[in-house]
Amino acid sequence: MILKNYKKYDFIFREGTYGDRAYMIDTGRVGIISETDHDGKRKVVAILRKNDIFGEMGLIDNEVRTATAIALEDTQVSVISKKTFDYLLKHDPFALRPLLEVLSHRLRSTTDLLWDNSKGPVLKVRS
Amino acid sequence: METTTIFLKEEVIFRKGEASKYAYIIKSGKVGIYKENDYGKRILVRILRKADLFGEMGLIDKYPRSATAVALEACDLTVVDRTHFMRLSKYSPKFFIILIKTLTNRLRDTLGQLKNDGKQVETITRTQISKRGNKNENSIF
Repeated sequence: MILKNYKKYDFIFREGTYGDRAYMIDTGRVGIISETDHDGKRKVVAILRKNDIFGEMGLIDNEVRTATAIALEDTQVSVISKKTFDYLLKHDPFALRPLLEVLSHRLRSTTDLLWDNSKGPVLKVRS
Repeated sequence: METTTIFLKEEVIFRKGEASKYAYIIKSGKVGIYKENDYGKRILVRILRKADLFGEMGLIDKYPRSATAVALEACDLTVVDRTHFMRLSKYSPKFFIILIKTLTNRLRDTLGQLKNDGKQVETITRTQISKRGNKNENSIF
């Protein structure tokens, strides 16, 4: 696995760009920032630490980054490349189980943000 | 273990807060995923169809059900229990890919709604998984 070092305030990736790598933090802290909030302000949506995984969505579906990742201090990450991912998927999918847990956890917390228990959401479904 | 079951229209498949024991794959019919507020009011957040997978989150992270699932019409479902689910995700790359893509698509949908929240009334479309040409996905079960 490739190791990469980022200095404080270096961008690891930017929202809206294409990227097919995921990262795991070895040392340091990474801020996940939403750049296109509806009110036009940048918003820190998560602060990640050692052993946290991020960027996994781009790795899985090759779509654009949904947020920006920035090093909040000098940070070292392990890079999970598409090649490694595809190899594991074929030969040892279970090794990728932590990715499932990350996705499941983010889906729960993101859904919770949409939902206000007192007011309820403003959602309409098209079938 | 993997079994087949039938739910009639408007029958509840599982309720928010219940322990998560099974995941389901739709063989036929439509399933509505609802969120409930503190006063028991239900809001439909997603409609699932043939070949869609649901209920998998609870088997991955062992938390209780995050939503309520109701049959919108008579449904034929494949039921996968935790042991079988673990076995499939361990030994079937194909199942694993479906699983991981289902979660990623839903997360993108939900993030998209969140970004647009306040700007407009959001429209949610069905999960993309069955649109991606997984015509043979039933063959792994």
